[in-house]
Amino acid sequence: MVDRVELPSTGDLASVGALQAALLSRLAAGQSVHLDGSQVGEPSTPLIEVIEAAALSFGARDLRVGLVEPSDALCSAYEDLGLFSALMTRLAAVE
Amino acid sequence: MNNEEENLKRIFFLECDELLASAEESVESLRNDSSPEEAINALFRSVHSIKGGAGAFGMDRLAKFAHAFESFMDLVRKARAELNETSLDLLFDGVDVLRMLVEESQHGTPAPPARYDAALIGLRRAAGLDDEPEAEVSAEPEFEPAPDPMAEVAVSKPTRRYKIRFTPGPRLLIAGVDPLRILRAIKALGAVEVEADVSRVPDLTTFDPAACSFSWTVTLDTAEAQSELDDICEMIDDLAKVEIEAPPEPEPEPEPAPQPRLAAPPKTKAVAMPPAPKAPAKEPAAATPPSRREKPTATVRVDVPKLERLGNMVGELIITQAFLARQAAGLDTDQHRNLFRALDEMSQHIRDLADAATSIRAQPLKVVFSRFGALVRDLEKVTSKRVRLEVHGDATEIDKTVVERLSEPLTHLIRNSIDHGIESTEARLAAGKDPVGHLRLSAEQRGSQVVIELSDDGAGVNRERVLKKAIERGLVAATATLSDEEIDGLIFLPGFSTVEAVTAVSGRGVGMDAVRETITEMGGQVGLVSRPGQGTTFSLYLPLSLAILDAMVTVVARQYYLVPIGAIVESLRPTPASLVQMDPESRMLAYRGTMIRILSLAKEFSIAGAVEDPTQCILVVVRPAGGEMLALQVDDLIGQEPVVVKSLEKNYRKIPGLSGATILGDGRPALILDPPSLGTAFARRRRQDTQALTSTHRGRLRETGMDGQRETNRNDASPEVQFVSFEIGEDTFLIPIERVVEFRIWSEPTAIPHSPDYVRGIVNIRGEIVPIYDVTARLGRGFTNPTDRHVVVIVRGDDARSIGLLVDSVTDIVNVRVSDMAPMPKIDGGKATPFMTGVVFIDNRILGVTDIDRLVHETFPDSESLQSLAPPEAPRG
Repeated sequence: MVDRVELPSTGDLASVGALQAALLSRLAAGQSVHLDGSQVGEPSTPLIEVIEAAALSFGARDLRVGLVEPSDALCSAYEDLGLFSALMTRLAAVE
Repeated sequence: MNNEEENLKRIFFLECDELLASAEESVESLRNDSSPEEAINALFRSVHSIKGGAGAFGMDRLAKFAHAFESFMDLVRKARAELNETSLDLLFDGVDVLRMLVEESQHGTPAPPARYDAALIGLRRAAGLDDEPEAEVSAEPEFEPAPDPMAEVAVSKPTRRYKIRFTPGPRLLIAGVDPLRILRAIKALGAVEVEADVSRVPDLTTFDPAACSFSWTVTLDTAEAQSELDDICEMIDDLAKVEIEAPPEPEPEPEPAPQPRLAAPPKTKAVAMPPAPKAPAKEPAAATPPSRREKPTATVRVDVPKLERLGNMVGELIITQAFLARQAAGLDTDQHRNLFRALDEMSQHIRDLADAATSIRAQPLKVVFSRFGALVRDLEKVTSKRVRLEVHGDATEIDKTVVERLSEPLTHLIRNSIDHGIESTEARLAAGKDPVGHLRLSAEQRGSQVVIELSDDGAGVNRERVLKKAIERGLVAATATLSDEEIDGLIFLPGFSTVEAVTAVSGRGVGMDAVRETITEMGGQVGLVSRPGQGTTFSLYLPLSLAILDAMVTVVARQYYLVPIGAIVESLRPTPASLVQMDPESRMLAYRGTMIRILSLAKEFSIAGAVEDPTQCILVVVRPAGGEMLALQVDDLIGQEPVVVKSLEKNYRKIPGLSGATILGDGRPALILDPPSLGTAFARRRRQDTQALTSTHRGRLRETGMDGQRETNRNDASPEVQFVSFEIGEDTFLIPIERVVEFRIWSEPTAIPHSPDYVRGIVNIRGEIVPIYDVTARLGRGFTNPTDRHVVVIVRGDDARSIGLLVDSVTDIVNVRVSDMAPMPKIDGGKATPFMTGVVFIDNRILGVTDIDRLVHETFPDSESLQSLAPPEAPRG
């Protein structure tokens, strides 16, 4: 079962903390997630870190974290952080 | 370009400086101001003026950018666009890019294309200009600063490859710096390859949003100077580990052949310059005349050890100069006039050199302060509180090493203020406060110190809670009686925290003890003033320079003690009348309408052989940072000298009351006094003495069950009143300080016949006839047998007439909250307390407040008859 989680529009620490909590609850429930990145206007390093941390934890339980409809801003942030391949991996995880 | 046009351009760029400064100020006030109309209009006008000038001079990129900026501001002005966090960020970026474009137009330094594109796109979108034909925003094809030959130089600059390893530290994100911004800033310098190391990414369960686990290796190919890269890295050099692997310096490029001076550029579209003919292949660089196109170097980077060596050498020079001055002191000035003139000149030159050496190391506090806007915005989100940060004085400069170390303690203080000080929006509304909390960060130079203050308008220190925690943790005894200031000071104790649970904001990283330790290590002090319900101010007092200090050399029993000039208010030789004996061991100085404690250095440091008679000594009145004034009693003053501070702690051990040592001109070591710690230690001892003396009073209070009164009022926010306390026998009474005119030692007054027995007579004080009133007699306790330890307190009544109160001793100046005051209870129909107007509760004591007006009125039943008895006026002084 895959649940859809909307990524916050800004990547401030509070929003990232809230996203972490949301992802932990899905992890506890054993649900793979699709992260909706369409509303991300001001991404940040912590936002991308929490996605990658989630991918690690979910992967350890054979669950998947996919990224759908990432905004241009989110794609640029992935690229500028040198994580283009990670972006591709997250997109591929939706298949 | 003809002279007139050149001159007009020069004026335009000067105006741009002012307009940009004004624009920056406007954007900052938009962030902070709840009624921003004025700032919006000011910003619009600034940008509009820049646009007009840029258009006139054919500075197309600047004009185009200013047009987009102005269009957006026009919408904001007409309330057709909203100012929110995103648009404010856009304005901040916009002003930055405007500045870069002005720089580009003036000096030919191209604005980073990525920043230009991003800001222009953002402004055009926000202004709804996307559909306009001039939507082309790419910097590359459009940037044609061809009329300026600099452009040719810039284009032909060789690129160099740098390898940058960037590992964020644990406080980078908390300090409001996102690595993404740093990487993008590096990217703006040229072509980058970014390789991320994600091997340290934690499990989701242990993930901490505020701790960055990524690190990067960036390969940058750029034609920019390394200083551009260094500038970016410098912003985070105490928050992250950044290593730059730079290529070896390239061989100097042969200079191009001199170009003919160009005609004035066309005002519309610039024309590209033909390539310059190549310079002769192997012409030695030294033989090449300096190019007029070369921009003069504005900064030079110097290794810190070299600066430290310079500082040490200046220090040695200061010591040598002091030595020469002392050697010359015994010579005849007439015979050696030239020598003395040379010594004076040398002294001035060394002073200038020391100032220059200090200023080389100085950096504006803006480097640190500029990070806190983002920190506050983040904390607002984390805590769900609304906070407005005001920054003042960020251009104040201080030693670079101090600037670098300030980030951590200030970050902690800001977090502390927002987390613990400023209340939630609901609580603020309930308390009748502005729902938005105010945080004010300011800096200013005061003498040889820089004072940084962080004030909030929150709830203030919760003293009950602090004291309770301190007792629970065994930091203070349960029976201890602490002043408000002492309770506030408990928060600086190691490990002290009132936080129940660690949150994303508090309980992480440094504590208040570490804040104090960091500031103390830098030779500074931390002050704290808190008012319940009104807020808290933290003050950091930092030395301007860590190495050189202006000091007054004083002598006590042939030993030298130095007082920092910045702390000195005045030096004076006291008159007997200005000294007030408090008890056999201590005196106070009546000084400019107030009383200040005298601290004898001989007694403080157990120095034998010092001058004992205070009237034969010098009192150096000092005002320790944030504290009360104190008069230091020394034998004599030698003079003012700049000295080089040596660490006493490093060379010996920390001594309370001393901040360091130095070597004087004659080679003798001298000790440097630390007025704040002297004041604190002295005040503590005085309080202990007073508590011991008043144990009898406390015993009485316990019997009456009134000793809990003060605890009840501890958190009251009511204003304070100052009193002078005096003693009659074992009892202490108070006089409102504004009624005290002066203190005098006892001298026999002229007796007045047929007057009440408690009126001892009259004296002449500067032409005014003043009756002397024996308070002991008025209380019906017999008559005072005055000695030189008795004091006459001259007080003034509400009708401007004065009387002198003969008392046993004057003990202190005390602050009393209005809420700790009460009317005088009627005991025995008022007969038992004939001249008491009320009582106050201080440190579990009840003290009576003297009714000065009643005393004055009952002393002057017929003032004219007293005036007729006045002796002739004595000479003044």
